[in-house]
Amino acid sequence: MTTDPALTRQVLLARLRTLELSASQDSARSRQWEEIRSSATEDLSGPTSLDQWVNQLRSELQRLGGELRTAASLNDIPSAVVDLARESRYKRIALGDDRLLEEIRLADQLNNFVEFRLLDKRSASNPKDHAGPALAQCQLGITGCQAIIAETATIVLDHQGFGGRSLSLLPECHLVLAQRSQVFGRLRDWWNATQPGRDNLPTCRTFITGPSRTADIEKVLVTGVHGPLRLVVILAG
Amino acid sequence: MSSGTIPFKNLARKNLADVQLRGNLLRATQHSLAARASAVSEVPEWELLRTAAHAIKKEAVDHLATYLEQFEAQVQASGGHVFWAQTGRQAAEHVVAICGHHQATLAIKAKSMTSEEIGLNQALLEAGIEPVETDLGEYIIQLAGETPSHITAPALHKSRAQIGKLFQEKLGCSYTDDPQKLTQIARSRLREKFLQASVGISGVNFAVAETGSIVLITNEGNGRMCTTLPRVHIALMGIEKIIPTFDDLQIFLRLLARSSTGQRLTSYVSIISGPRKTADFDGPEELHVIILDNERTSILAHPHMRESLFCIRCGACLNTCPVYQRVGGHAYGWVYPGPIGAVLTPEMQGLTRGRELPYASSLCGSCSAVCPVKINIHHMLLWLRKSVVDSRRSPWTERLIIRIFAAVMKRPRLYRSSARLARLLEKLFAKRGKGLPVPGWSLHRDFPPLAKQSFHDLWKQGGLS
Repeated sequence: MTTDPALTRQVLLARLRTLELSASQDSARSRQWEEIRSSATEDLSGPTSLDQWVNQLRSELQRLGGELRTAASLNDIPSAVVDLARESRYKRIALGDDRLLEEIRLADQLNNFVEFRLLDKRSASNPKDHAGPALAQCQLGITGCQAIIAETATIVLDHQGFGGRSLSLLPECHLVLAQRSQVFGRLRDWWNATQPGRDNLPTCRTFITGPSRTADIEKVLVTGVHGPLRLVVILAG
Repeated sequence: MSSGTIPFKNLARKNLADVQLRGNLLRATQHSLAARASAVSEVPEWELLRTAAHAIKKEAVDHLATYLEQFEAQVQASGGHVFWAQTGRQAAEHVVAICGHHQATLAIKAKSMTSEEIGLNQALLEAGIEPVETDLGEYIIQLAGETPSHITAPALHKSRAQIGKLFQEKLGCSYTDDPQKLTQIARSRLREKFLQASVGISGVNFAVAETGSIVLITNEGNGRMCTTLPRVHIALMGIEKIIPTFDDLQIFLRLLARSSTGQRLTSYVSIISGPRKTADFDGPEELHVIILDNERTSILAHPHMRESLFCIRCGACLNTCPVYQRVGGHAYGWVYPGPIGAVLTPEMQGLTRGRELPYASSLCGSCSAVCPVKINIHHMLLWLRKSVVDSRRSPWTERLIIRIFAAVMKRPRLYRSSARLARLLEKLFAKRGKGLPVPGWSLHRDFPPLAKQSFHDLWKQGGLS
């Protein structure tokens, strides 16, 4: 039996409409939101300065099986990237499309080393040819990020431009480059500061908290399931 | 789901005798409970968050038509397709039709309880499409030909040795019981599938009406894989997954992982708003969202049960339930186990099938106490027991006993002589200090002993000063 989808929609919505309660019920929800907002300002426990939050970020990331490295300034990031790639013997490196990577001219810097094979928007004549398999061959995928939330060591990443969603997902190590000014304390601090629902959302935004993990076998924690085995953050400034 | 017709009592008895299973269950649930307790204790505003989450879900569930229409318009505005399904079968047929349209022979799946509920894998197989579960736990049980026994940890009932043997047998690899190695085997097997498949199927954790976004939460990254690499993404959601605004999402992100696995936040939270745009490098070209009723409107129509639609499928009530901890998920006979399953199964599958489930509870209330959206689960179980009795589905012996009891209570003379008779019987048959043995019932419980003298006798003697 096939049914007309438009009819199913109509019938279902009509039934749902008869089961709706009056619109005035929304006051309970707004009241709760007000309470949450006021409780947030009262809560003074936990780190207060940016330095303390960066320490929190370091220890939380480590606890999750990730790693925080620091660079004195933006200009010191490329050598920190080279160090990481060399010590881990990463040869094939994919570079995301990000303002910060452009600013420090990371592609040019890495091109000075013959041992690295780069995959970025310039090395590809038609960038979309490199989806999936090519990125899966890379050992290191480097991206910037929108923000880092220190409390939970969460990276907020909008997948735009070259590499898209795959670049931070397929390579065995995901390296995130960020500046200290991008670090927020708690999830709500970032939320309040950026009002993320107001602007146009990107097609995909991901909150990344540690390397991929599972505890599906006897609750034993294993890192590196389908996503990256390793997550490293280099924080500058 | 073949176990659906076997009574809970029989399944529970079988599982209670399985020493291996009980060890696996106890280890897993205790682990999750301890992790949850520690994660929750870090959040001073926990109770406030629960109250807020309850209020948000109430607002959404009380106005589903409004928010679902808003959501639909937003998804369509971003280039996605929306399909409404009244039954599980309609939803499954639509998934098969989309796969057929793209000549797909392989569909990769992220974990989705809703897809279990509608028997999607079976429908795909019948249409000649291979469904591959990519969550490690789901992959394990798919290889074993079983169904999930837990909402968030589907293979929780299996030990590492059992999984090792399963991999050896089904995948032809050499035996190992090292979770790390087993995971690596699954990773490399599934990588190939991820790169081949043209259709990815996922559930939806939250659907945001305001922005038309679907939110997917996974630890392994398989959710990201399934919604990034294939050309087509099909997302399957129950009508109750909706939340009104993007800001509301924050509350649930702060509650879900801590309740479920005791993590501060799950590894990956993906917020997907529409299919790939021209400027995007990758991501599916087509996004299909299927909005499913499948008896949810019947729950909605029942004022005492409406709250069960607030459930965000964290699994905390399963872990904390003394019954679930001992009998495991498969005893519940359908896809949703534990206390919330004992509520949802009778509602969605009818009282004929789920008649025993409201009784599979000690009514201790631990489920309600841990629920991150404050669903009054144990009260609903009581309501369901009332429906079982009202619809005359309780056992005839129980009905007879209650009728006799009611008849006796209404007649003072009869009551007094029955009480005397009971005291006499107790003297003759009960062990010292114990109550009357009741056949069957007294196997696991003691009937309370009667007082030496009745209230009436004491009153007459004036001994009540």
